[in-house]
Amino acid sequence: MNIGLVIGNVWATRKTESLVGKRMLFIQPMSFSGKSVGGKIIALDTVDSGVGDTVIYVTSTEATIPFKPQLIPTDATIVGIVDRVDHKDGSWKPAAH
Amino acid sequence: MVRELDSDGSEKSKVIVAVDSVGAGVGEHVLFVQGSSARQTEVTKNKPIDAVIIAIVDKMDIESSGQ
Repeated sequence: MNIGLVIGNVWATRKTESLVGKRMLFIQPMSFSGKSVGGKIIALDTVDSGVGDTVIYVTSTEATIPFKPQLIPTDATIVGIVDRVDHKDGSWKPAAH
Repeated sequence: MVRELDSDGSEKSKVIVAVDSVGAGVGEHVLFVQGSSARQTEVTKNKPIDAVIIAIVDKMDIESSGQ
């Protein structure tokens, strides 16, 4: 699993039918110490997260598992909202928003 | 054929060939998935396909650039 910050939304009216009703969010991936790393990605949401939330997401085939048995073409899915991280270099809490 | 874009819309050099599941055309900004996720549509199920276009982007909105 990976950690990231939700930074934006994507809207698409025309999409594959199984994606209708699913929210798509921009994520900035983060290191486990809370720093931004790498390029932004788009993920489906399963936990009602929104801009400003620090989230846990899964990628690759695992991203489709929360939706089974539905066929959902996603390669990144948000599966949790982070309350606090304990890390060997120090604990941190996501900023309130 | 699909050319990858950055989130700010600038073109990357990578071009891939993808199956279309939504009726996209040349010049449209689309979302596509790769790998085994590409087989998760009715169009591509159980077929030897590793990239599929799944949506046509209307609007993108990045509200904060991260930390």
